Amino acid sequence: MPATQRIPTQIVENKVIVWDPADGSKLYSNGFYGKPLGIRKPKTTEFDRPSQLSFFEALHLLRKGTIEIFIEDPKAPLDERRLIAIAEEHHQDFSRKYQVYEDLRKRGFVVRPGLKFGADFAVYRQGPGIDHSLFIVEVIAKSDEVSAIEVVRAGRLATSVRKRFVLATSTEKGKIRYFVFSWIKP
Amino acid sequence: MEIKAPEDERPQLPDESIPAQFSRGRVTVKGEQAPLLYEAGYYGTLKNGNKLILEPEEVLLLVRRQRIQVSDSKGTNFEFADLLEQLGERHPGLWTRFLVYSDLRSRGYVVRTGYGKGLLFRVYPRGAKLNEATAKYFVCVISEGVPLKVTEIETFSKQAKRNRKKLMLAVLDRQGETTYYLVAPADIVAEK
Repeated sequence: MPATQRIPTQIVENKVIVWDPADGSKLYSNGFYGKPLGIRKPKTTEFDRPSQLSFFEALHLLRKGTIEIFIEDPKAPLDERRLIAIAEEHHQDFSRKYQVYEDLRKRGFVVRPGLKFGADFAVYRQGPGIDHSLFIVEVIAKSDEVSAIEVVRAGRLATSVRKRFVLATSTEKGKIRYFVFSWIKP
Repeated sequence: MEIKAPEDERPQLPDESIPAQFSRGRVTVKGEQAPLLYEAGYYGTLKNGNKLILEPEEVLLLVRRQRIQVSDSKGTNFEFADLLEQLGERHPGLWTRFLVYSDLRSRGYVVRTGYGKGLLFRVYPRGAKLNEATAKYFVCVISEGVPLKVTEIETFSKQAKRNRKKLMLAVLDRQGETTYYLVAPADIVAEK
């Protein structure tokens, strides 16, 4: 999308609102970004209400040049740094989690919130409503270490939600690493 | 769930403990009982068919099961606690390793010490004959409260993959109880 046609969005508390339903529908149908207000599971990619983006989605779309974001004055859009600063206030560990979000998006996955599965992200090959999520991803608390409790949680949760549970972390060089844990009874 | 091994064809060990010698920080079994003990559960390393050198974890397990009786050249007997102290000096982390080792052994696996730093054990299928079977798992230990470096997990899982083994993490809780998890690097590639 050319820079001139950036979709305007507005920060309201901890969400980024896409006011125009046509814009929201466009974002949803091109990669499943955002969620229409008050529709739990959108059946179609066309809807008639504003939609909300998470900060992860907003930063990614801002970087791609798809959207612009303002707070009060539509003529004063935010830059990346300002957006990250706001996101950090609202979402603990935002930047580290964002690295994983972006890595997964760049790999071509559809990345949606994973809270209802007890993780950071739910990852789809095609998208919600088309296929079930392939796996869920938790970004580990400390970037270079895995603790016993994280291993156990990952293994147990994978069993209970019947999905592959992936722990993601970034190495010192900033590369993202993914590990799958599964519980076994030897 | 694993299927139990068929009836064991391994030699039966005598009822009384086999004498073992403690010398220069190492425990060995000599004579005709050496190959017997080796084949009974693939403990230790057999040299020249009549000298069995035992690893510290193996010594502790065999003493606890009263399979061996350890004494030194002066005839002093070593009990479990003595051996733990003596061997533990040279082998830091012995108690932790012993807990995992004995847990896997008690589940019927043939367990051999691993190679390389951190990769503690190789686990063979139940009832395996060592010269015929290959190890199924590499095992490393993660203790509650002591995180593992991501780079370590990476190294171990690469090593396991190279050897066509699965990497098993033994998670040790604060009371020494173990649970096991398989860990593998996730090949995350979107194919549409």
